[in-house]
Amino acid sequence: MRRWLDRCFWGLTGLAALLACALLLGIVAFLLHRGLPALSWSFLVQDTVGAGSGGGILYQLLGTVILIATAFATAAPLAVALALAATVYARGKGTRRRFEVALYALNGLPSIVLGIVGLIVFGKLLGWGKSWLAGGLILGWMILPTVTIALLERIQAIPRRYFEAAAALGLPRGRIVRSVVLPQSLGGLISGSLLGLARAAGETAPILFTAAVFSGATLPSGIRDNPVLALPYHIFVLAQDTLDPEAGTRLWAAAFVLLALVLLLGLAALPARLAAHEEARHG
Amino acid sequence: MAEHPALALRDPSPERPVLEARGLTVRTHRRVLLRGVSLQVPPGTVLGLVGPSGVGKTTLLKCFNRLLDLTPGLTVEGEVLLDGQPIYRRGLDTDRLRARIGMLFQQPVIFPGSIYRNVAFGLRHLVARRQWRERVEGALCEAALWREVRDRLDEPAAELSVGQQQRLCLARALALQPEVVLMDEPTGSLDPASTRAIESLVRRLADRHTVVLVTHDLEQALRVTDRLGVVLPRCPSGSREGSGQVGERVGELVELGPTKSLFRSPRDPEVAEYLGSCSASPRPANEPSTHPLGLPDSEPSTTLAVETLPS
Repeated sequence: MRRWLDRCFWGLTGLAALLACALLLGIVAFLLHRGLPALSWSFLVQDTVGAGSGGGILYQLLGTVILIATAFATAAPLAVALALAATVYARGKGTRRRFEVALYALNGLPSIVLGIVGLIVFGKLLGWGKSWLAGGLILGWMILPTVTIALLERIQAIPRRYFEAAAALGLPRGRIVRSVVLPQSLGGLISGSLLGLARAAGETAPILFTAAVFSGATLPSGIRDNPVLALPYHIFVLAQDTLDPEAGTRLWAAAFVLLALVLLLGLAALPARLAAHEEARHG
Repeated sequence: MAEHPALALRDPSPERPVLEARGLTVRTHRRVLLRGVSLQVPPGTVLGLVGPSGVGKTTLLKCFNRLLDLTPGLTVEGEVLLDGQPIYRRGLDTDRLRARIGMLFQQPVIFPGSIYRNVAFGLRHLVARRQWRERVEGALCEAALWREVRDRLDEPAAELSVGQQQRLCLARALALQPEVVLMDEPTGSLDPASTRAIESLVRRLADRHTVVLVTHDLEQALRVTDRLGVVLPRCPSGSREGSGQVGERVGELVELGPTKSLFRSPRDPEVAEYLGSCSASPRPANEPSTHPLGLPDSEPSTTLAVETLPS
């Protein structure tokens, strides 16, 4: 009976894993099937022609990279500061727990709400209109909990004896942070950032009102009224508005490129995540 | 060959204890962990602290360099004096204090990086860079590790054996030239050979430093300590065990004295019972004892060659 239950459980978990993989593979296969005719090197390096029915997605790709780079530059230092405040400087578990609850709450904030906040604060109050910086900042705000929590977990996984050994040598707290905490939690920062950026790269709602336009933009030359093209917004508009079958093929190809970008960021985070888990397991 | 400056002998002042605790009590908001500990550690001695697990020996040790400050929710009452100066006074630079009191933990803590970087780890904010090399080499000599690592200072410290890592940690603490070295069961995770090496080092360290050693190994306490303190759990005075009104048992320093005389004639019956377990514990085959309490017949025979720096 026990062996039978064990096999059942093993089968169920295997089935769940298989289902998840099949779903991902199915999506990839579907996107490839629909978008393959348009996929080529020139598709990646050419500007869009004729409302998406021709050309490539160069500026959409570049715009997406600009947005996620800005998001990273915004979120990473803030996440480091927040994680250090919660783990090294905050006294007591209660403060830490409240801090984590706040982060999870922020993580659950709908992205469209963040988009509207961005529109009001950056677009209206600061008068930036649609700006790549507004989009990057809002995306950075959106991924902040993901990056911070990854970093928090990594810092908490550092064995306490490292702190004590460093403190016993008379190292001031700031020096312990620089010499012990940050070098050992770099993996958490990288993996958290890459996972967060993978999410940010695919988000449409936060940039809908703040940063993205469908056409007429190349590389930004300033902040105010300097929108960018972005892959998710491009896909969103094409999916909604186009009736042109050629544009439809390019839509699927663009979706495949976006998925590849997200998967690449996720895969890049894998070694750092595995190293963090290994370290946490073995101390 | 001239002795390395880092190894220069300190001028002992036998009149005044290097380290002193007066009525030291440690408590959380719920319970008392350690009560009323008073002791004096004369310069150049090895003070051993023994007692059952969880009685508060490590807590007591961490009071001496204020490492307990890192644990939230603990309150320390009473006084600890280092060279006659109270270390729990307001405004004291605890980082400077900890640099004066080295500490060795049960498990070696190796920071990522080379052997050299590990030994120089604590020097960065206290000592000019031009002195690092001299300090590192001196400390490695003092920790009897120089000969083993002098050709591979740039190799990762993690590649050393556990016993070598523990001596590396000792070198790291010694590089700061501390007055007092605290050791928290430093041989707890080591094999017998590495244990003997550390014990031999502890004896040698007493020439230049004052050592406080927490150990579970009563035979080790006999071998290496000059004075011994026995920390045992005691019920609060006036309360009776089993009456339902008794608080939890609290660690107290029950007896303190020269190690051998304490083993021979303890005054407290509980101390006698606790130390009596030493004679009952099995001895290594190469260390026969004819003493009824298991006292060694002669000085420990295992010694490490004293290392000197190449000129």
